[in-house]
Amino acid sequence: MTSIDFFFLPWYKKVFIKLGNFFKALGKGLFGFILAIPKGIWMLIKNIGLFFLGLGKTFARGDFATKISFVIMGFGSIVRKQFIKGLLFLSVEIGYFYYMVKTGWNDMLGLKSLGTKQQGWAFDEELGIEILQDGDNSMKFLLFGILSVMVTIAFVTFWRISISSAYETQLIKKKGGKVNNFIDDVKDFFDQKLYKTLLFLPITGVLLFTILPLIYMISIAFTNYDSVHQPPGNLFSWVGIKNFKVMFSSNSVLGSTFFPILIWTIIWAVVATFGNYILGMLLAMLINKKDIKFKAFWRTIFVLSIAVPQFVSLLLMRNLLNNDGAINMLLLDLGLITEKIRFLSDPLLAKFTIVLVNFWVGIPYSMLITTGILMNIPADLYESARIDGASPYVMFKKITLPYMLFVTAPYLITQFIGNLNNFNIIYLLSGGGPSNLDYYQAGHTDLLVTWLYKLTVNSKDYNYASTIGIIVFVLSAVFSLITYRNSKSYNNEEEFQ
Amino acid sequence: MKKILAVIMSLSMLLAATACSNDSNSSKSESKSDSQNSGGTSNTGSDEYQLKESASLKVWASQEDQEIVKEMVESFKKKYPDTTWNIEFGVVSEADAKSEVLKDTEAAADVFAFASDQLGELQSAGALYKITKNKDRIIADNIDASINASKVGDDLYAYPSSSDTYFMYYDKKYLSDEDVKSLETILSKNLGGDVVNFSFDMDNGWYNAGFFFAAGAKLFGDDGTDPTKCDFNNEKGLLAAKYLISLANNSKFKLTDDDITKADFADRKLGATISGSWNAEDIKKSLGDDFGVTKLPTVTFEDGTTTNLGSMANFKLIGINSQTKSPMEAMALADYLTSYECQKIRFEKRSFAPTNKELAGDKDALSSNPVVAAAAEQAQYATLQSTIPQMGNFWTPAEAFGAAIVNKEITVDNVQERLDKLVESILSTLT
Amino acid sequence: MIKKEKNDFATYYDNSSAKKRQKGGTIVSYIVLIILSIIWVFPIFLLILTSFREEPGSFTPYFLPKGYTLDNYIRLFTETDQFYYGKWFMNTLFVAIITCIISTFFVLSVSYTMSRLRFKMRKPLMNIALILGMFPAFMSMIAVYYILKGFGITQSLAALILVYSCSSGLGFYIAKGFFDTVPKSFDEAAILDGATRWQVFWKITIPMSKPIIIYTILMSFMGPWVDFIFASVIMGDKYENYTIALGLFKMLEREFISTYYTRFAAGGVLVSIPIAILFIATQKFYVSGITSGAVKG
Repeated sequence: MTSIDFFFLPWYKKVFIKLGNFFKALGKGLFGFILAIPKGIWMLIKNIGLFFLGLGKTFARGDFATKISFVIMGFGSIVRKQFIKGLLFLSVEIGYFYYMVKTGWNDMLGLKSLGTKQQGWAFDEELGIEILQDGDNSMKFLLFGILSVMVTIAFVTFWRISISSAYETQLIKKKGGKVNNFIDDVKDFFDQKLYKTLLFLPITGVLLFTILPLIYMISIAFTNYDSVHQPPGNLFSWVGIKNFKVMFSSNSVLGSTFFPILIWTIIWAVVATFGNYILGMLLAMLINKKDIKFKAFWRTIFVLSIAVPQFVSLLLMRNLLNNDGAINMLLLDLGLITEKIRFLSDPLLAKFTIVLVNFWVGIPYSMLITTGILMNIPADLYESARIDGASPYVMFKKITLPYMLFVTAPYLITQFIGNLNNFNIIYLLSGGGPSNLDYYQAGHTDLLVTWLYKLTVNSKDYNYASTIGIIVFVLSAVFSLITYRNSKSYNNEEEFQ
Repeated sequence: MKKILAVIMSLSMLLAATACSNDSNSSKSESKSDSQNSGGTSNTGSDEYQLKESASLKVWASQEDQEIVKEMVESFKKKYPDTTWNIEFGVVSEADAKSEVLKDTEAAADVFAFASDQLGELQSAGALYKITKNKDRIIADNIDASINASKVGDDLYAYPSSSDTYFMYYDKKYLSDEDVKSLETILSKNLGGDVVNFSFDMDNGWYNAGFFFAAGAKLFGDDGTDPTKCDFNNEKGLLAAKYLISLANNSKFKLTDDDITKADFADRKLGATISGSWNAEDIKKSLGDDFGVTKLPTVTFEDGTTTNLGSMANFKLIGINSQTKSPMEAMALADYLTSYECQKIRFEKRSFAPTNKELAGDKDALSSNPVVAAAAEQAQYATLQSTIPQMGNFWTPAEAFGAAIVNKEITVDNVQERLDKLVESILSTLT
Repeated sequence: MIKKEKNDFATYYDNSSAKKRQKGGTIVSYIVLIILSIIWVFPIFLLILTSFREEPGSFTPYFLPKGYTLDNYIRLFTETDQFYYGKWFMNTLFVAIITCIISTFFVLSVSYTMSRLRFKMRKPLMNIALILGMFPAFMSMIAVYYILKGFGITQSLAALILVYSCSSGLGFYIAKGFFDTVPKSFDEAAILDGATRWQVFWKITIPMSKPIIIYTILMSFMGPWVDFIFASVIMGDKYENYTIALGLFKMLEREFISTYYTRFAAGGVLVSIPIAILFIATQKFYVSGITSGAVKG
């Protein structure tokens, strides 16, 4: 079908086709996501294979010093007078073995059982009281077990590097070339290998404060770490995918809470993202109008609301919108209403209130961002549209919106994912309330993330919280894959340089 | 005077009575624990705390208690001068203690105050130290109900420090002593203007459970320890729910919370409300001579029965962190903080009803405080808050149920079905 | 980047025959703008009003305060037995400055690397970063707490700095988008002249990247002023090490709210002023930062 055909279709058919396309893309995205998993596993196996293959080759071709380097890291370097480098490698090895002997090995073993010794009591003759006998702490077993695995992987990487380095110097020596001394190496790290230098600290930070906690939390989803298995008094253990089964079965309390909240989360993310975006754009266009004076003044007024930190403005709003809050008092005083409006305590109204407050928070941002881009839309587009007699509405729909969507697609994706995980506004404004009798530990306005938070903080059901976290991740990943991979800025990265 | 005296006695007597009926085995189990314990203590033969030369402890108490706790700790230090004490203070309220302690037990305070409904969960998570030093004396010193709230099985896990329930505050400008005897009378009054007759926090399980208890429904079985039982959906529960529905539909009723209550009394826009001793000071300040406080009123259910409104009672307890480095010293401090002297200070300065038998029986002292007297009078209609871990599952559904009534989602037509759902949620387990 | 207002597209609605309608339209536009402005300013106005309110409490059954006072502001700094507002302010400032230095360095390093340097792991690393960004951040906050505990620095400002800055390397996409638009020819010329890549990064690219640096600084500086979740997990009961956001959040807890609500408002006003000035002064960099990655698409 050509675009002209499409243009002449009745509106409902258009909607139908658009929906069809959407689901096609969704299916494709899901499919891509599911395909990505075996692909990733295959890549991993392949890389491990290549790793050993390379290792074997190096060992076969290496001379005596290189071969010794397999056991004593840095030996090859020291023999070839790269003392500092060699000693650095050696100290990494010593450090690693020290760590493993001291705690690492036990930590790694503990990962399997997650602890066996229960807390207990023993009578102390001298004091005349029962004294606590510490048991194993499953949570620490898990965390430090993962840490020891990560340290081991890092060590193996270093080990591989040290062997390569020994082999390379061997080759250079053989050719009669000059072996880099330490200063040369350092210089290299600021030139050819600059990327290693620049990435070292950021990656270490991410490994420690993002990846390690993340692996830990993902692991929790496969254990029974809930309110009845809390350390230090109790042990928890691996349960496989049981938590996911519980979450997805509609007859469990969790399942019957999960699906309604999931639906509301998606509705919320769509309304919040596109509502803010379109309304912000309209506001920007309004201020941009030629005959509006004091443009900077109007913009500043809206920007002011960004400048007040969100937790201040939202906590304030929570009080203003209370049944006895200032807004109801004002409306009563003015005689506009006779009964208090239950902004945040009526289930349906609360949802609207939250969406509206989110407009208050979000519109200034999108106004600010779209203002500049709006001015960059080629003028002749409007000119020719005007000659064709297009109405402002048609111009907005056919020119402004497509152009803007095209340019700001990455921004919209981040906004959408941000809204899926929009914790602040729900938590600060309604706290998820009003509570819902049909839900487990959740209220009518809870998003998956706020429910996740409640499960961790209030009811200490860490395993289910993690399960939800993983589901939220899959949701965001699928959505991003659909849109981001198709966006130009991803595919044509090199074009603009 | 005589009347008050009788009332005071009822505090200890009746709470004790409820406790006895709570646990028919209590006398048996107590004697068992006695024999167990005497075996232990006889080895040392001393009630004295064997303290180290120096000890570092951290104490958690609520914001309002900081000042008096610091005072108490000073006198504690004087009592044990041979030890060099290094005592730190942290602000964590009784209500938040559970989540803060369980977040990282090692980093939590050695000695902390918490509400008795958290006992089950804290104990099952292994966060509480078993109290074996001077166990018999502590059990003997405090009223039985408070000891029951501090025990899991036969083991003692906390020191009772005060009892807590709610009762009614009213503005004498609008309501007389006679009026406040029955909720129907309160609601029948025409107070004029935008003055609300009666308010209470309906979407809060702590308060709305009182109506169910008044009707005769039971949470977690007769003794409050059976996690598989809750009969809020039987015909008695139905009476209570219907009463709540009609109350919510009454224009003379208002949904409130602590903050709104205080604002309403400050503005003299409220007849009567349900609240506890923590608001006493503020309300007294607002109402001055018109300050009225008494037990909860009676209610007349649909079937014509009239009973006094029930309430949920709990205890403020002081627990010892299982991860503490100085258990003996922590026990000495916790014991002192809940002793006769300290409970007296709490009673005098904060209007907290004591759990110490001697103090609770000291009619002269107690009668001087109308707030404590009201609490004591209400105590006979109070139901002890359950301490089993399943109690943690009660609050959210009860809140949701109350909110749905206020939102008029629950009406007489679907109330039975929603009650069934309420019970199902309260009793639900995840696995 | 944004060009000056050179082609106000509203001009294209201009039509001399419809001048009258145009004028009516302008009035409607002004009315809409004024109404919207009132809606947007109203909560801020109320915040300021509350901060001067004499009578305490979070709710008043009337709208306008009965009395006005400066007490709420003064008490924030004088009554420090429980809430150390002044100290919190300095804590936050300190954390924000250090975080901002570390984060800016991290973000610029990573984004420059990803944009300019070519190496085997580049694409995989970028994909991993994208994936990591999609996990709900505070899903892992308890684990982060225990890692900090492993370092022995819980309840300290250092812990907060680590949490705020260590993962900042992940947020490189916007800055990378900017670097992608900076012409490569400068780099190549410099390298031909014998400059190392570090010198190119430090002496050529960084000085040319003012907007994105300001954007990055701004974003990482703001973080500590608004986060209260991580701060509350890390600080627990250690009030003197709270940040301003957490402290203000505490003031609204059940046991404090009726006494501290007006002081919360005063504290909110005080913390908003520097942020407002900072933001308004640098908003053009904010916009160019967000859009620099996008416009090229």
